[in-house]
Order: sequence, then structure tokens, then C-alpha cells
Amino acid sequence: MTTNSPTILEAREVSRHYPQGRRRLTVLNKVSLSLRAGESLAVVGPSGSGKTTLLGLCAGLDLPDEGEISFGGNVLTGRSEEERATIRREQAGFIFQSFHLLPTLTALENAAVPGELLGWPDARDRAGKLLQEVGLGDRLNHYPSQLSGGEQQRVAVARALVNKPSVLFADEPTGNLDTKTGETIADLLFALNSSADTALILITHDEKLAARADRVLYLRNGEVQK
Amino acid sequence: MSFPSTNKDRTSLGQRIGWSLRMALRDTRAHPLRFLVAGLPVVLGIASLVAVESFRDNLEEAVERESRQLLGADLVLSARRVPDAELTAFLEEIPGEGAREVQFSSMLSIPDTGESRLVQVRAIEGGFPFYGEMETIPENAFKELPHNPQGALLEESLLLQFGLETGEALRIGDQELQVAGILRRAPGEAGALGMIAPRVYLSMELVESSGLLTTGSVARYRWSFRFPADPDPDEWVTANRSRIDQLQLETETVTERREGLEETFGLLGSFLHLVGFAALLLGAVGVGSAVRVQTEAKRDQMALLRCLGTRYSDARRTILWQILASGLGGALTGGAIGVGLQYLLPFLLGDFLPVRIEVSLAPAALAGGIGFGFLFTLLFALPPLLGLREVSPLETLRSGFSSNSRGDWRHRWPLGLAVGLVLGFAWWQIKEILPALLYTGGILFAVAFLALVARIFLFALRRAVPSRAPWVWRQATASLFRPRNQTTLVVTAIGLGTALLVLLFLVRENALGQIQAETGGDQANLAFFDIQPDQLEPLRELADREGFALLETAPIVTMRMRSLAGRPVNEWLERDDVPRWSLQREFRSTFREELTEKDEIVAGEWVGRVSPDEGIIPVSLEKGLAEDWGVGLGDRAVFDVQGVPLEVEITSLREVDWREMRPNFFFIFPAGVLEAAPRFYLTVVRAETTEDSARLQRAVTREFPTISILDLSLVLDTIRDIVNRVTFVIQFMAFFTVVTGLVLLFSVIGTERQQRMRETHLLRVLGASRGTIRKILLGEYVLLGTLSGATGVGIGIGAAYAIGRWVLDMPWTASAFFPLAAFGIVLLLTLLAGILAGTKDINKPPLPTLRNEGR
Repeated sequence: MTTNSPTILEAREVSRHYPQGRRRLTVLNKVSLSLRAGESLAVVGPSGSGKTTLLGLCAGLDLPDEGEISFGGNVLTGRSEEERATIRREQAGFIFQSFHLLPTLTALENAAVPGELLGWPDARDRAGKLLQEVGLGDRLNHYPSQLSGGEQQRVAVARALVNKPSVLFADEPTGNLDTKTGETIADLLFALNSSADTALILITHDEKLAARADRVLYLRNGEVQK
Repeated sequence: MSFPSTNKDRTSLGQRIGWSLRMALRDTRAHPLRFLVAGLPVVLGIASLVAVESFRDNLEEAVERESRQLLGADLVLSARRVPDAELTAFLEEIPGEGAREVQFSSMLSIPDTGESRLVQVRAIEGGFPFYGEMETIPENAFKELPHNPQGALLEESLLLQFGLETGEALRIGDQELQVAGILRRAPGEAGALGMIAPRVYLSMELVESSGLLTTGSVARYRWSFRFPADPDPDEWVTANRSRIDQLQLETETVTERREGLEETFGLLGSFLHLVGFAALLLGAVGVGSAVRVQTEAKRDQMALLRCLGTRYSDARRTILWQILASGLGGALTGGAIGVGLQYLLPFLLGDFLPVRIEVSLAPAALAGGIGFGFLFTLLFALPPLLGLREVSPLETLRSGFSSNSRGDWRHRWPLGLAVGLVLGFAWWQIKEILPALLYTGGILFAVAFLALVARIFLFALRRAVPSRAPWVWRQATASLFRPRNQTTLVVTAIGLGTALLVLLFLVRENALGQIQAETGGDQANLAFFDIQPDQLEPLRELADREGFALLETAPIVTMRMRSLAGRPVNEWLERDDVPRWSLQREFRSTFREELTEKDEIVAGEWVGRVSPDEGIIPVSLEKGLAEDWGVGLGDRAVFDVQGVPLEVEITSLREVDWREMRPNFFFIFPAGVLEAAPRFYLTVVRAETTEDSARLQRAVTREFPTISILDLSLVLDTIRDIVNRVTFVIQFMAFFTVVTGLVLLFSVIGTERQQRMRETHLLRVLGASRGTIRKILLGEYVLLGTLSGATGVGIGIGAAYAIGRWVLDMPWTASAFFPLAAFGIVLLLTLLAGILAGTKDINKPPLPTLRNEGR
């Protein structure tokens, strides 16, 4: 990553409120951030600080009530869910705390899904190579139920990178793993982040993990802590 | 796309369809049968659709094939009077070859044992049947009959009843005869035709020379014709209609017979269809709910795919393929079973059919049934799928986040379409919109009512199990209310089938019970008729000697109507709103001075006696017929009493209960006018036991061979047999709905399995023993079976009571045994289904399920 890299994701003064009875609960209040290609950003904060909401907004899974988000040069605000899905399909990768692999698909098939969605004829080959890279070359045809937690998360990492995303969204990627496995996954994430020139937004409780990112954003009660 | 895309997406529609198909296949790989099982509930509904429709096709083919044999001739004319010169002259004008036939009732008795039975004697002269064959054993027995003056051709049932064999002696009236052969089938006649009075063919020469056919006996004369190529029989009848009516002849052509037949069996088919359709509807609701459970389970997958940027249409398509597969699987299996069932219907109904059904594959019926069933099922399966549109990708990030889309009316449009389809189907079957609307409304009401009753019972159950009840029972009750449970649906489905079965059974029992009651107690159960005036006193003496009393004796004078309310009968016949038979029939009227206590006058006054020279005779008419004709007090009619015109005026109307086994009449004349007319008598007797009845019948047949006897217990047996066969077919279809309910239960148990397994394993981890879990499971199905059984039996009894009380006007005679037995069977079957499907996971170790939690 260099300071000359283009801005790939930008949130300007983004707010999100939820109705709670008659009152309005503000989950995010005028949060701004920007991310350049290949950069990594950790978002940390206590439970309920709005981390996951911010991730959802940045990835186009939800729309802000106020403010504007642009992703890969496209303003997300005002886009339909179907249009946002196209942006995600082409430019985003996801890693979740609870892995979210499709239980009826093998490791290889799971990892190939985003490539298949783009109609890439080499989706399976790419998925196979990525699984080799994450150390699962001998587990290609295993179903999620036959894999350990760490192995499942590695499949998820491969899946997140198969469509060559410009931004990787990781929501507590090590939250369900023991310390050692968690570290392995984190190593993997940062290594791939820098080698693939993919920006990374990492949501975590773990200060140690956050410290490995280029920048850290602290959230508390929906606001950025300076 | 309105924004700059990276052009990474290179998919074509074909590729995307291919991808969704691949995903669907991958998804079913682990549980290949799961989605097929979802289609099971419609199997029997579609099977019945295919079976009934194929049967109808086969019947139509048979009618087409045996078209001319349906009548054995091109035209048949018939009358209930001895032909006079005018009629004979008319018959001689009819083109082509002719044959004549006479039919009348007489007693057949066995000289050795004295056993007897009322039979219908027939004698034919001429080449009838012109088309088709009389099937007999030996083969030429019918053709040989004219050369065998003592020979009688008997229906098979008579030979079986009396243990007779060819060549053995029998007696008809006072004629000694021999069995010349067995009649298997006459062209165009159903096997069950002779159940009350089996057919016996004699030679015309014998009938005419023997005096079997005495004056006053009620005989029917038939003339059949084979027409030359021209004229067409139907055109000939139209051209000669006024003379035919004037001669009071009844006509039948092949076209008329065919239309009548198609109408009758069309109606039967429609009725069976409508009963079977209930099973299809129930099944489709079941598939819909199974699909709902399965799509609910796929919400996570949907949310993830959306998160990864899958188009909504592509994500939905992956599930649509599976739904299509389950619907198609159910429809094809149903079609296959339907083809099998098609063989059963002719077997059950064959005796009532005048044609021989050759069962063959009916491709149109098969394709139609499968296609319709598939489409119908799809409409019920679509709403849950459409509900997935609302699934937000955010559900992937937040497990508690639920974009609740269930119950959104915008996804229910296929159900509206399905209701439209039900209406269309009913309309197509019934051919009239109002009854079709009633059927559709009725079926929706029945389902809604059952669901309501099920909900009330469930609510009551929840209240009835107190918090202090044993833990196992509380847990079993709670299982029925687990989130997204299908309890109401299962109770409704099993309940509907049970209610139908119980209703049909109770109505049948009540109807038969009433007939039984009418022949029990002090009611007459033997009727003697064709009694000549000079035989009446000796018969009374004979009955006295044997210890019987003639309960009610009535003279009968036959007459035909010439005009009514100032207009000739011919004019009346042109009207469509008056039943033809009621004007063309031969009236058998009686005369008496005093009315019996059963003759209830509802309007006007009864006049008991008139002088023989009275110009216009005051008569009493049955109220129902007066309503059919639209006539009342003061209206006049002219009768032809065996050649003598007689003018009458309606001075009173009577209510007649036709179900009572006693001499009932449309017209009752006063004493003083008909005494001189040729007449015969009818009387009824009560025999306490079968032996008494047989003894009296033997004595009467021996002494008065020309008196005919109708044994009402035999009639009752016959009616019971017919009712049983017909209700069996209907109950068979109704049973489909019960089985559909059970299949549904299986499928629901299957789809709730994951949830149940988690609960079971959690309980195991918390320390519950396998025994305790088994008890909870048993408790759950005992409750479910009790609810379903109680709902079905309760509604069945209620509906049977309502029908008996307000529609059929019958007292309640059915026993409580069947409803209780039905309840027990439903409970047992539900329990069995539950145990079979539910207990297999108890023994699995709990950890793997819990480890997969949340993944």
C-alpha cells in the first residue's frame, strides 16, 4: 500500500438509527472513514458500539439514514439492493465470525461460489489454488461438518478472495477460534491482504489483532473516538 | 446497469440457470430424498384424479366400442299395456326388422324344497338382440329357447341361491320347467340389474300358451327394431313424436341410451372427483407447509448468498428447482399409483355398468391429472418461496436479525390462483357455476372450520395442562407449540379425512337403520301382489291357517292419464319442467271408503263414497306430484281406465311417506266407481322370523302359483349391498384424505427433525434419560392423535346429525362403535407414525448436533 493508492471505500458522516418503540436509537452517529487499495483498517470497540452496523453499511448490506458511502467509485446511497449485490459480487469478500459455509457443499464448492456467480470458467481452479494456499489442499472434498473450526474459517478466507475483491470485510474472524488457530487465521488474512492488494476492514474485540492493521478506528456509542 | 461496473461479471442467463441447477443438485446430494418426501402428500390426491379420469376415459371408450350393443337394437319402443289394433298398425309401419318382448313379474319356486323368489320373466320373439350377443352357458342356450318349450334361461344368481344346475326342475307360476342354461350377460344391461327380481327368459310360445300372463298382471311390452341404412332412428323418432306420444309409448334409441349412460356415470365420476379432490387440496396444503418449513431452514443460505452478491432471482432459483422436483416427484408417483387404482374401479363398479370395461392406459387423463396436480401443488408451494425476497443479507451478520416476511399478503397471490383453480375444476366437473361455487365455498369453509376447531382444541389443551402437571406432559404439550410448528395443519388434515369417513359411515348406517326399522317392529315385510279378486279370500284363509294376518289390503286398478287441468297429456309432454314419467306412467290407483290412519290429508276434504253415476269423481292426490305438476284443489283430470274415460276432480291432497313399506298411491278414488273395473289386489304381511317368512312363501307359492311375493328383507339386503358398494368407493376416496393426513404427518416430522434433534440432544446434555425423552415423544403423539381424532370424529358426528336431522329427515340409529373405533385407529396410526419417524434420533450422541449449532 502506498499513499498514492486510490481510495476504494469512503464513508462520509454516516448515521444509522433504529426505531425503538416511540424513540429513535442512534447506533451510528456521523462516522467517517476512508480506505485505500491494499490498506488494512481495524474497527474496535465494546459490544453495541456500532462496529457491525458500520461494516454492514460499508459493504452495502444496509443503507445509512444520513451521510454517503462510496465503494469502488460507486455511491451506494440510493442504490437498490440488487445493484448493491452486483457491487458486492464483483468487489467484496466476506469473512464471518461463525464461518457461514453452505453445509451441503464441499470445501472446494464453497470456496468457488463467488467465482461461479461471476461466471468465471476457472472458478474451481482458483478456489483450489486458494485452498492450497491456506493449507487445505488435501481437504478439498470435505464437507464443513467434517472440518474443524479453524479449517472452516480457512475455507471462508479462500472463498472471500476467490473473486479478487477490492475490499475484504472480516467480522470478528477469530472470535470463534482458540488463540493459536485465531493467530494462524490472522496471519493468513494479513498476508493475503498485502499480497493480493486487497483492502481489509477488520471488526474485532481483540486489541492485539487490531494492532496489526495499518490503522485502527475506535468506536464507542456509535461515535468515533479520537 | 446504471453505475460503472468492473465488468468482472461475465455470466449469461443460461450460465446462471446452470449455476442455480448445480447448486440445487449439490444441496440435494446430502439428503436426496428430503425434497422428494416434501412432495409425498399430493401423491394420493393426484392418484385419485388420474384413476377417476382414466376410468371415465375407459368407460367412454367402452360405450363407443359397444355403442350399438348398448340397446341391442336401433330403436326400442315400450308400453305397459296390451297392444290394441291402433298400436299394432303403427308398429307394422316401422321400417326394418322387428322383434317383440314381454316382461312381467312372477314367482319362481323349486318343487323339491318349496323355496321361492320373485323373478322377472321375459320372452322374446324375433331376432333380438340385433347387435351383440346374449352371453349364456351353454353358448347357444338363448337361440335354442324357442325349440325348448319347457326350458328356462336363468340368471346366475338364481342358480347359486337355490343350488340349481342345468336340466333340473323348477316352477314359474304354475308351469313345470327345466333349467335350460345360465344367462351371463344381456346386451346393454348391467349385471346388478336383476338384484331384486332376477331375470328368467322363457320362449314366447310358452308364455302365450300357458296363462302365466293373466289379465290384470302388470306386464311391459317392448318392440325392438333394426333400421335399414335410411332413415336414421333418431330422425324417425323426431318425425313421429306426436304419434308416439299419442300412443303413450316410451322410446329409446342408441343415442338416448348413450346420453343417459354418459350422464349417470359422468355424475358418478364428478362426485368421485370432488371427493378425491379434497385429498389433493389437503395434500397441496401439506406440500406448501413442508416447503415452508424447508425454505425457512434455507433463510441462512439465502442471506449468505445475497451477502456474497448473488442476484435474488438466482438465489431463489436454487430453491425453485428443488420445489419443482418435489412437486414433479409427487405428481409422477401419484400418476403411477393412479394407473394402478384405475384397475380397481371397474372391479368395484363393474356390476353396475352395462358395458364391459377394458382397462387401458389413458394418456390424456394421465397427463392431465399429473399436470393439473403439479400446477396445483406448485401454487401452494410458491408463497413461502416468494417470502424469501424479503430475506436481508444482514441476517448473516446478526443471527438475531429477522426480516420477518411471513404472512405478507403480497406473497399469497398463488393461493388466490389456487382457489380460482378449485372453482374452475368444480365448474368443469359439475358444469354449473352455482354448485361449483358452493363446492369451493364448502371446501374452504370445511378446512377453515376444521382449522378453527383444531385451534380451539389446542388452545384448550394449553390451558388444560396445568403448571403442576408432570414435567414430561408439560414438555410433550410444549412440543406441539414449538416455533413454526405445523400442529394445526396436521390436526386439520387428519381431522378432515376422519370427519369424511365418519360422516359417510354414519349417514349410511342411519339410512340402513331406518330401512331396517321400517321392516322391523310390527311393520310388514312381505308384500303379495297380482292377487286376482277370487283369490283374495282363500289367501286370507291360508294366511290365517299359517298364523299370519293380512295387515293392509288394497284393490288396484291400472289407468292412464289422458288430460290434466284441461290440457291433453301430449301438450303437457312438451313442457320441460314436468317429469315425463309422471304423466306417461301407468297409474295403479286404489279406491276405499275410509282412509287409513297413515293417509294424512293436508288440504281439502276426503270424499269416501260416490254413486256409480256421479259425473265427476272426487279424488285425493299425493301432494308432491301435485307440486310437480303445479295443480291443486279443484283441478280436473281425465283417466283412461282400461278403455273407459273417467273424469276426476282433485278434492284433497295427501302427504305420503314413500319410505314406508305399505301400499302407497298417487291417486285414491272413493268407493262406488271402480268396483266394476278389472282389478287385482295387493296385501302385506308381517313375518317375525326368516323361517316364518319362508314357510308362508312356500305355502302361498304352492297354492297360488300366480301370486307374486316380494320379500322385503331381500330388498333390504339388495339395497344394503348396493349402498355398501357405492359407499365403499366413496369411503375409499375419503380414506385417501386420512392417509394423506398421515403422509403429511410423516413429512412434517421429517422437516421438523433438525429442530427436534436439537431439543432432544439439549435435553440429553442436561441429563434427561432416553426413557424420559421417549415418554415426551409418546406424549406428544398421544396428544396429537387425540386432537386429530377428536376433531375429525366430532365434526363427522355433528355433520351426520345435521344431515340426518335437516336433510334426510332420519332418526339417529347408528351405533357409537364406529366413531369410537375411528378415534382409536386415528390415535394408533398417529402414534405409530410418530414412533416410526421420531424415535430414531434418540440414540444418536448429542454432541455433534450441538457443535453444529450456529454454523
